[in-house]
Amino acid sequence: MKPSNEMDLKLILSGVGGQGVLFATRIFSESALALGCDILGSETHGMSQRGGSVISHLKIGVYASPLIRHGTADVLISFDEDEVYRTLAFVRRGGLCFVNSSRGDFWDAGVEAYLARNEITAHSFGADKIALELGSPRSSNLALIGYAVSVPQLPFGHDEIKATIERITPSRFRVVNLEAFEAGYRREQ
Amino acid sequence: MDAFGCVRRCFAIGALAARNHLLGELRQEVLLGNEAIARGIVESGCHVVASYPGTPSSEILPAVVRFKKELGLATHVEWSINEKVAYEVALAASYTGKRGAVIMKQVGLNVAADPLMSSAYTGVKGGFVIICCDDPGPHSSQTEQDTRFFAMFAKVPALDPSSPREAKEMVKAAFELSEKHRMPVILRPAIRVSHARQNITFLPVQELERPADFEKDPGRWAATPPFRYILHKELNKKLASIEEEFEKSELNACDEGQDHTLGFIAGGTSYSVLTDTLRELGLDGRFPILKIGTPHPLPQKLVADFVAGCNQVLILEEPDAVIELQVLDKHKVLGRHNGVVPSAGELTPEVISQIVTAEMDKLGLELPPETDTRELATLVADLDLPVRRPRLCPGCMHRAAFFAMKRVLGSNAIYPSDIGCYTLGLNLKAVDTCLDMGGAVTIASGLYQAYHQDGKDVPIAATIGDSTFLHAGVPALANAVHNQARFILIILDNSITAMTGMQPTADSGILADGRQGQRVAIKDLVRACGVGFIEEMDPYRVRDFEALVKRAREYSRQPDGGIAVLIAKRPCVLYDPTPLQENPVRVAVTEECDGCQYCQLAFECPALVLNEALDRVVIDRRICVNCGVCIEACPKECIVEA
Ligand code: SF4
Ligand code: SF4
Repeated sequence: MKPSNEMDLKLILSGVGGQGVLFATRIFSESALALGCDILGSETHGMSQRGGSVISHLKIGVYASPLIRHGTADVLISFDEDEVYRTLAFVRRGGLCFVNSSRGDFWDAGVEAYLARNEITAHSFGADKIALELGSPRSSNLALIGYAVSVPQLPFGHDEIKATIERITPSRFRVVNLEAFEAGYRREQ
Repeated sequence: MDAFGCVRRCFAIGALAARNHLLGELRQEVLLGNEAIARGIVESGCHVVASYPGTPSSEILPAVVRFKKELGLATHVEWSINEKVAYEVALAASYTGKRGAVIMKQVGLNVAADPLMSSAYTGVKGGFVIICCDDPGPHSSQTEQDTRFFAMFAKVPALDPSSPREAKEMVKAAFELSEKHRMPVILRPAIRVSHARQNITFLPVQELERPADFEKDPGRWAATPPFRYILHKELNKKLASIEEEFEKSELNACDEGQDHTLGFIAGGTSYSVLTDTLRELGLDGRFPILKIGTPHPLPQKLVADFVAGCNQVLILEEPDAVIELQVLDKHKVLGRHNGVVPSAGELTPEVISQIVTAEMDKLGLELPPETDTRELATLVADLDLPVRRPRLCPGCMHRAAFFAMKRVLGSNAIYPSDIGCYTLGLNLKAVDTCLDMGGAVTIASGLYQAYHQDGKDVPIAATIGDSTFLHAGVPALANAVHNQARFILIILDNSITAMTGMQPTADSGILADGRQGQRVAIKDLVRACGVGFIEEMDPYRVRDFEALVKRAREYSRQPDGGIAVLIAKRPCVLYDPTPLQENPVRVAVTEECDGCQYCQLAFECPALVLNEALDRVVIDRRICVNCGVCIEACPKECIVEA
């Protein structure tokens, strides 16, 4: 399940402008590239970056189009409690879903039943809280990524994601971003 | 995770890229499609690159700057005042034998239509490529227009890439084509190419020694109408020989399939979406696909032969039916003309899979079961999630200016506006029109004339950004002054082109590569247009700014008055947060707040949020930038300095 250069993964990242969705996407795409995989993705630019919904598609493997179709994504990582619902339709039967929320009973009952029927494993994790405790609310995306990487089904290992974070984070955020990632990985709630 | 048995289709360009990939020792980087295009421009040895920013094209020029610096090249790069200007600057380089590229978004080509049409006739000398990004959707534009139609209209060739990798290769093909036939060539990446990310291999830069050498040839460069007739005939000949060349070009390719009950013709993003969708539906390699990389001029023989070999042919392209229109015999064709393909909106994977599934149904083909997400739509709709509309940033100076303007002039005034972040003033009901670049000023003058004719005096206050004013507002203002229009014009000067990602303006004096150029001051331009009332102020001083709006309104009514221009000046908070860091005003909401939400509606700072438990508004400290402007926004004075 863990890293290989024959990875085939369709990943959706969603959130609101300013939550670092694009940076999170970069972490995965750079890590995949470092493993020798082909990557293709699509991002939101322009006006919606002013606080609108932001969604990033990332396909790792051999693809022609950067867009992921509803019902075909392997993994959804959402940094926002509302946006996760808006982007849930991308996830395929048997897929994985992560949402940034500290509410244990996060899911709406109807949607939860849908997830169960479609064998979608949903995780909610309070990444905001961790980032806030570290005094860096903007690192919340890193904490959620840390948590997601700790789940064995995600085909990325701790070390290569960490290496990518070290490599691409601007120096003044490097320490706190790594701390957030590690805290998420250790699932500190 | 599922592993799809995937076979890469090797059409010519893909194969080339794959080969480079195998070379291994060449540097690879994950690039945005626009950065890949920039790399293509630089690798093609292009000498002059000019652009005006606009989503989805804005990232190309900054990436050219990056590669130019990394490689120590002498490339001339510039953010021009507008697309027409950019076009002509790059075109002139081609007159001298150098290579030129001009970059814009699709509606930018409307502005540059004049030189496009004319330069198709005159032709070029050095390679000249127009990179014009389309926005099917639209995601960030006022129209879904198809640049390939402009190519048809102007009679120039258009290339349509389906991925960042291919876009980079096509830049080179475009330069070669342009140089060979001495005519402008359009590269038309759609947004899903421009804003896609892909690993891209860096190739060496082609070194082209091309000392500027303008050879006088008035029959061409200054052709009068009788010569234009000759040039038109020449253009038709060029186009015919390019079509001939496209018949055999590697830019078009056929993916074989054994089932000829249906064939696909697809171009650009639609081709790549189709390829992935067919694979997901288990139809990989079943039906033949003709990939069109050269939608204009369409290689007619290639297309006719393909159509002849199939019972029916489905054409997928966006945003409009450019290939389809050129297909001469349509009796086997499924597409927009018979409603099989929708005529507005993006051809997303969902739309394409629906079209394909419906056709498979008609053919009686059974498809593998898919995840059914339909019920989810209803479940999520029932959650009544808050609408997430884009809003001006916390601390944005536009908000302060809009708020002051509206408080003085009220809701009976008419507010023409323009294109930029400040179009979001819509949310504050401070934007009534948004037509095109510079439209704020012209619509304001036209409105004035229409009311004035009836003897009516209606307050009109137009808003326009600094970059937009420079782009098309200056001639509009000169015209308005000359024709004695009267209104208030507020130039929102945040010293940068913010929405498209912080490109410097001529007013700042900063050049595209960061060097200092000559500053062109907006204030001086306004004065030169003959405006008699010009004031400049930081709109954070809401009360003073209101007083200024009042004076401006009076000036626009007094007998010897006219147009009053206010320059609201303060840097965009994203571009330059230092003034706020140096002088923060920390605010708090007092317990007297009764949760009326007036501040949220009329002021809409994202950092003002309703706390339902407390039933009052609170400050979201994570995003508040301590601008202190909201102190003015509560009529009950419940927002105070902490
Ligand atoms: S980017 Fe700048 S100009 Fe645009 S909304 Fe934000 S603060 Fe305002
Ligand atoms: S001080 Fe007020 S207006 Fe300024 S960012 Fe904070 S909440 Fe918004």
